[in-house]
Amino acid sequence: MAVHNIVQTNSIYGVTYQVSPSNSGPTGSYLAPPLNPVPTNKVYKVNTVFVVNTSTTTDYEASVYHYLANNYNNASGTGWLAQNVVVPAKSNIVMISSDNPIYLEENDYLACYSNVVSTLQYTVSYEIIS
Amino acid sequence: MANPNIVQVSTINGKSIAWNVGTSNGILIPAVPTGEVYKINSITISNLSTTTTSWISLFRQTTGTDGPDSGGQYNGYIAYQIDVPPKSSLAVIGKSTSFYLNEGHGITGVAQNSATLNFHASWEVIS
Repeated sequence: MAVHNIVQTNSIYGVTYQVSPSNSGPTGSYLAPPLNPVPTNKVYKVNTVFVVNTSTTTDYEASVYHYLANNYNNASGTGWLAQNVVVPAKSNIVMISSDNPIYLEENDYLACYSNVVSTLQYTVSYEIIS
Repeated sequence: MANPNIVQVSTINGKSIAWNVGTSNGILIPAVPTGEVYKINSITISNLSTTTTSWISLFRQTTGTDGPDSGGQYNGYIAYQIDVPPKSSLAVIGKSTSFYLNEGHGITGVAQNSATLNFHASWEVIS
Protein backbone atom coordinates (compact mmCIF):
# COMPACT_ATOMS: atom_id res chain seq x y z
CA MET A 1 0.00 0.00 0.00
CA ALA A 2 1.36 3.38 -1.02
CA VAL A 3 0.07 6.84 -0.37
CA HIS A 4 -0.10 8.60 -3.72
CA ASN A 5 2.12 11.68 -3.97
CA ILE A 6 -0.08 14.31 -5.62
CA VAL A 7 2.96 16.27 -6.83
CA GLN A 8 3.87 13.36 -9.09
CA THR A 9 0.51 12.86 -10.70
CA ASN A 10 0.28 11.24 -14.11
CA SER A 11 -3.46 11.24 -14.53
CA ILE A 12 -6.60 12.94 -13.29
CA TYR A 13 -10.01 11.75 -14.43
CA GLY A 14 -13.15 13.71 -13.70
CA VAL A 15 -16.20 11.62 -12.85
CA THR A 16 -19.80 12.23 -11.80
CA TYR A 17 -21.92 9.48 -10.29
CA GLN A 18 -25.52 9.48 -9.11
CA VAL A 19 -27.38 7.04 -6.88
CA SER A 20 -30.72 6.77 -5.12
CA PRO A 21 -30.18 4.34 -2.25
CA SER A 22 -32.54 1.39 -2.44
CA ASN A 23 -32.03 0.62 1.21
CA SER A 24 -33.08 2.88 4.04
CA GLY A 25 -29.75 2.50 5.87
CA PRO A 26 -27.53 2.06 7.66
CA THR A 27 -25.13 1.14 6.11
CA GLY A 28 -26.28 2.44 2.74
CA SER A 29 -24.87 2.58 -0.77
CA TYR A 30 -21.44 3.39 -2.10
CA LEU A 31 -21.20 6.99 -3.30
CA ALA A 32 -17.51 7.20 -4.24
CA PRO A 33 -16.15 5.05 -5.68
CA PRO A 34 -19.42 3.64 -7.02
CA LEU A 35 -18.77 -0.04 -6.39
CA ASN A 36 -15.70 -0.61 -4.23
CA PRO A 37 -13.28 1.23 -1.94
CA VAL A 38 -10.53 3.36 -3.46
CA PRO A 39 -8.02 1.14 -5.34
CA THR A 40 -4.31 0.92 -4.60
CA ASN A 41 -2.08 3.81 -5.70
CA LYS A 42 -4.96 6.21 -6.22
CA VAL A 43 -6.48 9.05 -4.28
CA TYR A 44 -9.94 10.44 -4.90
CA LYS A 45 -10.65 14.13 -4.48
CA VAL A 46 -14.36 14.66 -3.90
CA ASN A 47 -15.38 18.16 -4.92
CA THR A 48 -19.17 18.02 -4.83
CA VAL A 49 -21.88 16.05 -3.06
CA PHE A 50 -25.49 17.15 -3.00
CA VAL A 51 -28.78 15.40 -2.42
CA VAL A 52 -32.14 16.09 -4.04
CA ASN A 53 -35.49 15.24 -2.45
CA THR A 54 -37.83 14.13 -5.25
CA SER A 55 -40.86 13.97 -2.99
CA THR A 56 -43.31 16.81 -3.56
CA THR A 57 -44.81 16.54 -0.09
CA THR A 58 -42.51 14.94 2.48
CA ASP A 59 -39.23 15.89 4.11
CA TYR A 60 -36.68 13.08 4.43
CA GLU A 61 -33.34 12.58 6.13
CA ALA A 62 -29.99 12.16 4.37
CA SER A 63 -26.77 10.72 5.73
CA VAL A 64 -23.29 10.66 4.22
CA TYR A 65 -20.22 9.16 5.84
CA HIS A 66 -16.57 8.65 5.05
CA TYR A 67 -15.13 5.23 5.86
CA LEU A 68 -11.46 5.76 6.71
CA ALA A 69 -9.50 2.54 6.31
CA ASN A 70 -6.49 3.95 8.13
CA ASN A 71 -7.88 6.50 10.50
CA TYR A 72 -5.58 6.56 13.52
CA ASN A 73 -3.04 4.07 14.78
CA ASN A 74 -3.82 1.94 11.72
CA ALA A 75 -7.38 1.44 12.88
CA SER A 76 -10.36 2.11 10.67
CA GLY A 77 -12.93 4.75 11.48
CA THR A 78 -15.99 6.57 10.28
CA GLY A 79 -16.33 10.29 9.73
CA TRP A 80 -19.79 11.77 9.32
CA LEU A 81 -20.35 14.55 6.84
CA ALA A 82 -24.05 14.51 7.53
CA GLN A 83 -26.21 12.29 9.68
CA ASN A 84 -29.98 12.42 9.47
CA VAL A 85 -29.98 15.90 7.97
CA VAL A 86 -33.48 16.89 6.90
CA VAL A 87 -33.91 17.56 3.18
CA PRO A 88 -37.19 19.42 2.64
CA ALA A 89 -39.50 18.27 -0.15
CA LYS A 90 -38.58 19.62 -3.58
CA SER A 91 -35.20 20.96 -2.47
CA ASN A 92 -31.45 20.29 -2.39
CA ILE A 93 -28.84 20.11 0.34
CA VAL A 94 -25.13 20.59 -0.48
CA MET A 95 -22.87 18.45 1.69
CA ILE A 96 -19.50 18.84 -0.04
CA SER A 97 -18.44 21.68 -2.31
CA SER A 98 -15.17 23.04 -3.63
CA ASP A 99 -15.12 25.13 -0.44
CA ASN A 100 -14.77 21.93 1.58
CA PRO A 101 -13.47 19.14 -0.68
CA ILE A 102 -12.26 15.89 0.86
CA TYR A 103 -9.70 13.25 -0.09
CA LEU A 104 -10.42 9.54 -0.05
CA GLU A 105 -7.29 7.47 0.44
CA GLU A 106 -6.68 3.86 -0.50
CA ASN A 107 -9.43 1.56 0.75
CA ASP A 108 -11.54 4.50 1.89
CA TYR A 109 -15.01 5.16 0.54
CA LEU A 110 -17.90 7.58 0.78
CA ALA A 111 -21.36 6.11 1.39
CA CYS A 112 -24.87 7.42 1.76
CA TYR A 113 -28.30 6.40 2.91
CA SER A 114 -31.71 7.88 3.62
CA ASN A 115 -34.66 7.15 5.88
CA VAL A 116 -36.69 6.41 2.75
CA VAL A 117 -36.15 4.17 -0.23
CA SER A 118 -35.53 5.54 -3.75
CA THR A 119 -36.63 9.11 -3.06
CA LEU A 120 -33.47 11.00 -2.16
CA GLN A 121 -31.04 11.18 -5.10
CA TYR A 122 -27.36 11.81 -4.44
CA THR A 123 -24.90 13.35 -6.90
CA VAL A 124 -21.15 13.12 -6.35
CA SER A 125 -18.43 14.60 -8.56
CA TYR A 126 -14.79 13.68 -7.99
CA GLU A 127 -11.34 13.37 -9.50
CA ILE A 128 -9.40 10.12 -9.62
CA ILE A 129 -5.75 11.05 -9.10
CA SER A 130 -2.91 8.64 -9.76
CA MET B 1 -12.07 7.25 -27.11
CA ALA B 2 -12.15 7.28 -23.36
CA ASN B 3 -12.77 9.75 -20.60
CA PRO B 4 -9.85 12.20 -21.08
CA ASN B 5 -6.94 12.38 -18.68
CA ILE B 6 -7.13 15.94 -17.37
CA VAL B 7 -3.36 16.08 -16.73
CA GLN B 8 -2.68 15.60 -20.43
CA VAL B 9 -5.41 17.70 -22.02
CA SER B 10 -4.73 19.47 -25.28
CA THR B 11 -7.78 21.75 -25.31
CA ILE B 12 -9.98 23.59 -22.84
CA ASN B 13 -12.73 25.72 -24.37
CA GLY B 14 -15.21 27.87 -22.51
CA LYS B 15 -18.80 27.35 -23.60
CA SER B 16 -22.18 28.77 -22.66
CA ILE B 17 -25.70 27.97 -23.75
CA ALA B 18 -29.16 29.36 -23.02
CA TRP B 19 -32.71 28.24 -23.75
CA ASN B 20 -36.23 28.83 -22.67
CA VAL B 21 -37.39 25.77 -20.75
CA GLY B 22 -40.44 23.90 -22.00
CA THR B 23 -43.13 22.05 -20.08
CA SER B 24 -42.00 18.63 -21.23
CA ASN B 25 -38.56 17.14 -20.82
CA GLY B 26 -36.12 18.81 -23.20
CA ILE B 27 -32.38 18.60 -23.73
CA LEU B 28 -30.64 21.64 -22.25
CA ILE B 29 -27.02 20.51 -22.40
CA PRO B 30 -26.58 18.03 -25.27
CA ALA B 31 -24.76 14.77 -24.66
CA VAL B 32 -20.99 15.12 -24.21
CA PRO B 33 -19.13 13.91 -27.34
CA THR B 34 -16.69 11.03 -27.25
CA GLY B 35 -13.24 11.92 -25.93
CA GLU B 36 -14.45 14.98 -24.00
CA VAL B 37 -15.48 15.82 -20.46
CA TYR B 38 -17.39 18.94 -19.45
CA LYS B 39 -16.78 20.76 -16.19
CA ILE B 40 -20.11 22.41 -15.45
CA ASN B 41 -19.42 25.59 -13.51
CA SER B 42 -22.75 27.37 -13.66
CA ILE B 43 -26.42 26.63 -14.19
CA THR B 44 -28.80 29.53 -13.61
CA ILE B 45 -32.57 29.59 -14.00
CA SER B 46 -34.24 32.96 -14.43
CA ASN B 47 -37.96 33.50 -14.21
CA LEU B 48 -38.91 35.96 -16.94
CA SER B 49 -42.49 36.27 -15.77
CA THR B 50 -43.49 39.27 -13.70
CA THR B 51 -46.39 37.43 -12.09
CA THR B 52 -46.06 33.64 -12.18
CA THR B 53 -43.97 31.33 -10.02
CA SER B 54 -42.73 28.28 -11.90
CA TRP B 55 -40.79 25.27 -10.72
CA ILE B 56 -37.78 23.77 -12.46
CA SER B 57 -36.57 20.18 -12.60
CA LEU B 58 -33.18 19.21 -14.03
CA PHE B 59 -31.60 15.80 -14.29
CA ARG B 60 -28.53 14.16 -15.72
CA GLN B 61 -29.56 12.03 -18.68
CA THR B 62 -27.20 9.14 -19.38
CA THR B 63 -29.12 7.84 -22.45
CA GLY B 64 -27.94 4.34 -21.74
CA THR B 65 -24.26 5.23 -21.52
CA ASP B 66 -22.33 3.89 -18.55
CA GLY B 67 -20.39 6.46 -16.60
CA PRO B 68 -16.66 5.97 -16.02
CA ASP B 69 -15.37 4.26 -12.89
CA SER B 70 -18.23 1.71 -13.12
CA GLY B 71 -20.70 4.54 -12.58
CA GLY B 72 -23.70 2.99 -14.35
CA GLN B 73 -26.56 4.70 -16.17
CA TYR B 74 -28.67 6.21 -13.43
CA ASN B 75 -30.53 9.39 -14.42
CA GLY B 76 -30.48 11.43 -11.23
CA TYR B 77 -31.99 14.82 -10.49
CA ILE B 78 -29.84 17.82 -9.73
CA ALA B 79 -32.97 19.87 -8.97
CA TYR B 80 -36.52 18.68 -8.48
CA GLN B 81 -39.53 21.00 -8.70
CA ILE B 82 -37.78 23.94 -7.07
CA ASP B 83 -39.95 27.04 -7.21
CA VAL B 84 -38.50 30.10 -8.94
CA PRO B 85 -40.48 33.19 -7.98
CA PRO B 86 -41.34 35.79 -10.65
CA LYS B 87 -38.66 38.36 -11.40
CA SER B 88 -35.94 36.29 -9.73
CA SER B 89 -33.16 33.80 -10.43
CA LEU B 90 -32.02 30.50 -8.99
CA ALA B 91 -28.37 29.41 -9.07
CA VAL B 92 -28.71 25.63 -9.33
CA ILE B 93 -24.98 25.05 -9.83
CA GLY B 94 -22.19 27.46 -8.98
CA LYS B 95 -18.41 27.26 -8.95
CA SER B 96 -18.41 25.66 -5.52
CA THR B 97 -20.78 22.89 -6.63
CA SER B 98 -19.35 22.33 -10.10
CA PHE B 99 -19.42 18.81 -11.46
CA TYR B 100 -18.06 16.78 -14.36
CA LEU B 101 -20.36 15.66 -17.14
CA ASN B 102 -19.00 12.54 -18.82
CA GLU B 103 -19.18 11.08 -22.32
CA GLY B 104 -22.70 10.48 -23.58
CA HIS B 105 -24.30 12.29 -20.64
CA GLY B 106 -26.36 15.48 -20.88
CA ILE B 107 -28.68 17.67 -18.84
CA THR B 108 -32.43 17.57 -19.43
CA GLY B 109 -35.04 19.79 -17.84
CA VAL B 110 -38.68 20.72 -17.57
CA ALA B 111 -40.54 23.76 -16.28
CA GLN B 112 -43.92 23.95 -14.60
CA ASN B 113 -45.20 26.73 -16.85
CA SER B 114 -44.41 27.62 -20.42
CA ALA B 115 -42.68 30.87 -21.40
CA THR B 116 -41.51 31.55 -17.87
CA LEU B 117 -38.10 30.04 -17.20
CA ASN B 118 -34.82 30.64 -19.02
CA PHE B 119 -31.92 28.21 -18.61
CA HIS B 120 -28.32 29.43 -18.76
CA ALA B 121 -25.28 27.19 -18.34
CA SER B 122 -21.55 27.69 -18.66
CA TRP B 123 -18.84 25.05 -18.68
CA GLU B 124 -15.36 24.05 -19.81
CA VAL B 125 -15.00 21.57 -22.67
CA ILE B 126 -11.93 19.49 -21.80
CA SER B 127 -10.32 17.17 -24.32
